[in-house]
Amino acid sequence: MQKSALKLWPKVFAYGLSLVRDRDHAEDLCQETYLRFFSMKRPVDSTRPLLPLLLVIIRNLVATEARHSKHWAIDNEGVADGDQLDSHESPAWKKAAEEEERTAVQQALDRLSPDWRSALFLKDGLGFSYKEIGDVIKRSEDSVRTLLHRARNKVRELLKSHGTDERRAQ
Amino acid sequence: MTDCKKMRSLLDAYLDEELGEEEKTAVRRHVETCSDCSKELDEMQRTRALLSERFDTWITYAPPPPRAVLRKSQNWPVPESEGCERRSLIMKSITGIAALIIMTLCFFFFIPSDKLDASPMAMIMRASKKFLNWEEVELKVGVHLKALDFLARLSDDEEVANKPVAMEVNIVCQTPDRVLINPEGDKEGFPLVDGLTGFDGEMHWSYCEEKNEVQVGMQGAIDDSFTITINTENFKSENTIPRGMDFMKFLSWDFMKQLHTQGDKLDIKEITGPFEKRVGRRAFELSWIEEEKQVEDEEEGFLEKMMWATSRVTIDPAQDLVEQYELDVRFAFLPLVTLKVEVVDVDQGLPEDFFHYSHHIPDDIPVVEKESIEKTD
Repeated sequence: MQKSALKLWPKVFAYGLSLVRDRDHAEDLCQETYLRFFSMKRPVDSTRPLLPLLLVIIRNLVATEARHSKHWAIDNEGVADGDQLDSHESPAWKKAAEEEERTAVQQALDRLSPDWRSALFLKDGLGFSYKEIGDVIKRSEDSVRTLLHRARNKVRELLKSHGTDERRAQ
Repeated sequence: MTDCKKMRSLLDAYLDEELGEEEKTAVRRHVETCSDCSKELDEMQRTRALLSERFDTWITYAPPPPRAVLRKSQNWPVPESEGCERRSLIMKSITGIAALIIMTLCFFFFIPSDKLDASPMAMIMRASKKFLNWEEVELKVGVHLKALDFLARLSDDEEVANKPVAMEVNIVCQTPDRVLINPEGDKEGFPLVDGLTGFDGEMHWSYCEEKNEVQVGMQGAIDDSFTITINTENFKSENTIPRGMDFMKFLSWDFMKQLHTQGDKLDIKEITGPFEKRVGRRAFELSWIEEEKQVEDEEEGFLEKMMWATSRVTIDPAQDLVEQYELDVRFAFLPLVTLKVEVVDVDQGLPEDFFHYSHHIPDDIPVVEKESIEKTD
């Protein structure tokens, strides 16, 4: 069970990244998530997948932070404000990912709200079903479907304005 | 064209493989014959491919789990004598534990006694009178509506969720998101300790006359796992609430009767949490130093007017952490006895004084006796 949980670390981290965008922050959240998980005195239900549980924990952590922050909330839908585009990544991460972050896809994702971005990650990054996404973000399947539709349309719109989608198609 | 519009609305779900066989076949056939929709589908697939590629990068470039996590995983499940690892975790634990202890104690004020009338309504009336000044109670109707919505969301039983309740008590327990520490020699007061997320919790009681049932709803975001062992003459139980998760409880009136105790005495045998386990001994004391402190406050008048309790937590100095800090826990009790017939219909608009609505509740509140209710033995 421990090994299974640790194998999921990259996915949980990536989900945290989709929520907060800051790599260091995501790593802290991921660490706290696992410490909480491993502090559970009783084993979790082994018949149920671990990943949704870990994702719910990390999302709750972000939600708790958001509740006490006046600057943004996890459930704000749509496009992020301009000031949210400022990131504070560590130099190491900047160096490794500088090239990629310049791509239009990353920029488009950066423009989305945490809720849209994280739902897209659950679907296109982890392959979750609408129901599984709904269980993690506490929404109905219909709501998830609508949310994903809007988020994807927004991404396409941003990519088109950047010209990436067209270039890729050629 | 109409067909195209309909089909395009299904393309996302089609690619997500969330359509039934019939719809899937319809979309597939349409796309085969419609070049516009086929092109749209291709574009959508390309966008998804780009996103998947990007997300794969996130996963691939994830840092490895830090040592603290690996070490923790090796010791899982948590051994009884695990030492203190992280100061922030300890500090975080305190707030949640203290708040939950107090909430739990409040919970048992409502347990019926065999010496008194054990009908649900009488029990709730008695419990409420313990706390409330019945002469005049200011109600926040917005909170009331929120509470009803909360119950409706939690209850799978539509009959219960939609029935007006005869009485509803709403306890809001909220701790500050930062806890103040009192260091020596600080002229400005108390510096803040980072990393404390506080505790937000709500507890709701409602009595449904139609079903003759008391329901209790509890919800809270907690920072620590929490185990409560109850050991009374007639009832024994152990409940563990996991960390980092919201928790909810619904108890029927029958369950409440099981909780019946002798002369209102209740022995909470043990309250434990990882914090205490980590330090291996009792490292803090929680004491109730003020009760029913009536404080007028324009911004949070209702909460503080009802009750403002302050608990003092003392940390073992040997841990070289904190000497002492105070924790404010606030409770709000919403007596909704007469609001049974006054629930505001939001669709018809709200009154001007919606958020500042005062209601006078008479001293001689009628207690409705139900013949069908069996007295506890």
